[in-house]
Amino acid sequence: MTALRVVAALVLKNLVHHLGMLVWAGLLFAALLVTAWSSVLIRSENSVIDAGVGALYYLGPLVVILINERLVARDLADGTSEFLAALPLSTPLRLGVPYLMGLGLTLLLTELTLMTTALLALRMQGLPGWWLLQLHWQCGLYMVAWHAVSFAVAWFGRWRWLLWWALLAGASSIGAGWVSNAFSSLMWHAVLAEPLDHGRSLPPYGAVPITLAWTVGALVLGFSIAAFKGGMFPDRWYGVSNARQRATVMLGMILVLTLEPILLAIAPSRPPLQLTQPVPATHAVVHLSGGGQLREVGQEAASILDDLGEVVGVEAWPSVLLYPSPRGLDRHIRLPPGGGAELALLVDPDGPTQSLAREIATYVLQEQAGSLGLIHPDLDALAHGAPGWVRPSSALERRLAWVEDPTADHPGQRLSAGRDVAEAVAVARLQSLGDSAPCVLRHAFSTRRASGLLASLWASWTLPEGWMRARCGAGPSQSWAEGRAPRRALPKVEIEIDQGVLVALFSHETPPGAVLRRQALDDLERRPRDTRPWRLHATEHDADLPLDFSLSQPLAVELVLFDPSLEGWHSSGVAVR
Amino acid sequence: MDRDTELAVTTEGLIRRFGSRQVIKGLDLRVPRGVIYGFLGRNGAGKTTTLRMLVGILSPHGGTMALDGHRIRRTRPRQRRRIGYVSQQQHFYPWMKVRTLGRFVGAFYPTWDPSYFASLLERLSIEPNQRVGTLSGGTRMKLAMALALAHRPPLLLLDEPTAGVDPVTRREILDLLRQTVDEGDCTVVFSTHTVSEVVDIGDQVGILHDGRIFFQGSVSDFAARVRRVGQLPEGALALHEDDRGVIGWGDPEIWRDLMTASVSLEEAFVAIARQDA
Repeated sequence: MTALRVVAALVLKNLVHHLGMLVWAGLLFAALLVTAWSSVLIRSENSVIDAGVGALYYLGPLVVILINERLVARDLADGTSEFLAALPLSTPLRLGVPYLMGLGLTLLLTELTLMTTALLALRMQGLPGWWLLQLHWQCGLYMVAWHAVSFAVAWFGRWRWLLWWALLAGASSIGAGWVSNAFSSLMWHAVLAEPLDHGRSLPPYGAVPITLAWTVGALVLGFSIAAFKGGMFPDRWYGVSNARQRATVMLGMILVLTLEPILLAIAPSRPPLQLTQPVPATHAVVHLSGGGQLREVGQEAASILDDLGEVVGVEAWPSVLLYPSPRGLDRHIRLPPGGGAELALLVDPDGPTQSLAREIATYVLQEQAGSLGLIHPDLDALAHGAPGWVRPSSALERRLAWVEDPTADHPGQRLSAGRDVAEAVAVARLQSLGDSAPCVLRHAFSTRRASGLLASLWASWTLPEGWMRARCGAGPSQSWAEGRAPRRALPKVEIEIDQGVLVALFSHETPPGAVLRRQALDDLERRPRDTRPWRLHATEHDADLPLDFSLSQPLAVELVLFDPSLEGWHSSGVAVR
Repeated sequence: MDRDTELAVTTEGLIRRFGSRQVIKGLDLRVPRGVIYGFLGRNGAGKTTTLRMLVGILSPHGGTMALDGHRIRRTRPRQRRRIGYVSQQQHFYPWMKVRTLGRFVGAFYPTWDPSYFASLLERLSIEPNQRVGTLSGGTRMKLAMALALAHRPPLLLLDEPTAGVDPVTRREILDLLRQTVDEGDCTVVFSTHTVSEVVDIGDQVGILHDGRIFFQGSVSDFAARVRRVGQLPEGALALHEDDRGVIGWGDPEIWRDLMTASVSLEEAFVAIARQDA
C-alpha cells in the first residue's frame, strides 16, 4: 500500500513537473508529423505510412531523449535529487518509476503516431492488419531501444552529450569506412533502418537480436551506474562543472570528429564496381560484378524472373547487379555509374547458395512493387493494399508453386514461397493488369463482401470502392485469373511543355487505335479527377495536345489501347508532370 | 539488536572517501537517545558527509553504523522512515505549493501527520498556498524543519539548520528543536560551526576535526576537561598556544590541584580546530 502511494506520488510529481515541456515536445512532434503527411500527400512521392514511420525514425528519438532529460537528468542537474534521496525511497522505485514512466510515454508516442497515420492511410492505402501489427512491433522495439539507450546516457552527467556525440558520430564514422551502413547492421536502429517497402516484404527479423542486445545492454549499464553505491557516479558527474571539465568534454568531441578520417584511412579497400556482360535471359537482366563467381546464381535468378514474369505478366524487371560481399545477401545502396542497373544486391559467393536465386528474385519483386508509384500513381495507392484485397487464385498458386520446388507437382497447394513472395507477386500482378486492376479488385471486393460481416466491414473501410466503380464503370467483373493478360509493348510516353504547348513524346511509333488519355490529378492525393481522351493517328512519334487543363495542377498522360478480348484498356504507363 | 540500546546513533570506524581523498577517517560517534547532540566542526571537517551517510544518501566505504540499536552497513528506506532530515541547502521543487509539497513528502511516510504539519506551518508562519520558489531562504529552512518533523521521527538529523537565517528565525528553529526533544522521544543531531548554539540548546557535543571525533560527551563534561593553564601538567594535552597561555585538555582529575581558569567552548573549539593550522 505504501509502495503504491509512493509510486502514485512520484508519477504525479513527474507529470506535473514536466507536463509543460512534454506537451510542447508533443505538439512540436505532431506539427512535424502533420507536415510530413502533408508533404507526402501534396508531392505524392511516398506513402503516408512511410511519412509516419519516418517521423518516428528521425524525430521520435529526439522526443525520447527529451523525456529522459526531464525524468532522469532534471532532478540531478537541479539538485532536487538530494531531496528525493533523503526520502524513504527504495532504489528500485527511485530508478524504476522514471524508467517506466519514460517507457510509457515513449510507447504512447509510438502508438499515437502509428494509429493516426494508419487511420489516415487506411482509406488511401488499405493497410492489411497483419502488416500493421508487424509495423507496431518493429517501431515499438525501435523506440524501446532508443528509450533504453537514452535512459542509460542520461545518468552520465556532463559526459552525456559527449557520449551521444561519440555514439552517433562514431557510428557514422564506422559506417563511412568499414560497413556500408552501421545504423542498419551495428546500431539499435537496425530494426527500422531498412526502407519500409523492403521490411514489408521481408520483416527484419535478423536485426532483432542487434536491437535487443543494445536495449538490454543499455538498461544494465544505466541501472548499474544509477544504483552503484547509492548513485555515487551521477552524484559526482552532475556536480557543477568547472572550466577544465568543460574543456575535457569539448576535447572529447573534437577527438570523435577526428575518428572518421582515421577509420577511412585504415579501412580495407573495396574492389571497384565493374559491370560484366549480363547473363543470358529472355527478359530479366542480371549483371555481375567482381568476376564470374556469381554467374550460376545470377543465371538461375534471371531464369526464375523470366518464368515469374510470364506467370504474372511482367515483361521488364528492374535490372539487377550482384555484387560479391562477405556480408551475405543484402541490399546495397550504391549503384554503378552509368545507370546499368536499377537494383544492387550484395551476395556472398562463398555462402550457401540454396534458395539464393529465389531470394534474389524476391528482392527484384520488391523493387518492382516499390517502383509502382513511379510508373502508375493510381496503382500506387492500390498496391499498398493489394495483398489485403487480392488473394492469388489457386490456379495462379499452382503455377507459382515451382518457386519453392520446380520439380514437384503441387495441385491445389497454397503458395508456399512465403507471404513476402505472395505479396510481391500480388503487387506485380496488379501492375500487369493495368487498367483492369480496379475491375479485378472490385470483383475481389464483392467476393469478400459475400464472405461475412467482419470481412465486409473491413473491406468497405479499406477499399476506395467509389473510385473503383468510377474506373470500371459497369464493366464485367473479372476474377483474378481472368484478368491476367500479357502486357503489350506500347511505347513509353514523356511529356514536356515547349513554348506553352504541351507535347507528348513516344519512345517508338504508336499502334493503330491508341488513345492518349490526359488526366487532371487531385492536388493532394494525386487521384484522377478529370479524364479526357485524345485519339491519335497511327504511327505517331509525338503529339501536340490542347491546353484544356491548367498547367499549374498535376497532370498525367497515358497511352492506352483498348483490348477487345478483355473489354479493358491496356496502358503503356503514365507520365506525370 | 545492538547492546547499546540506549544509544540512538553509533558509528564505529566509519570511513568515506571522495576519489583519493579520505574525508571521514574512522569516525566513532555515540549519540544517546533523547538528547540534542551538537555536531561541531569547521567547514570541510566532514559534518555534512557524516550526516549524509547516516541518512543514507552516501554509502560509507568502511566501518559500521547502528541506528536505534540496529547495526547496519547502510541506511535503508525502512530506517529512513524513522529519520527526519534537513539538508544544508533546500532544493525543493519551486513550482510546488507548500501544501502540495507536504502532501508529496507525506506519501513516503506511514506516520505522516497532516494536522501536525499544518500546525507546524502555522507556528512557523508559513503560508500553505505559497509557492516554494517564492519563499525566502529562512522560510525554506523553516519549511524543511516542518517537513522533517511532521512524521514524528525518533531521530532528527539537521545539517546546519540555522546557517544563513536571521536571528528571529534562528531562535524559532532552536526553540522548536528544544520543545520537540522535551515533549517526545526524539533525538536531534544537528551540525553547526556556531558554538553558542551548542551551548544554548545542546545536551551533548561532538567535535569533529579532520574526519575524526576529537571529543564527545555532555557540554558540562567538556567544560570540566578543558582549562587554560600556565604550565601543562603531566597527562594533559596542549591544544594551542597563544598570547593568553596554553589551553590544556585532559582528565578533570588533572586540574583538581591546579589553579586553572575555565575556557569557553568556543575558545576550546578554536584551539582544537587550529591543531593542524
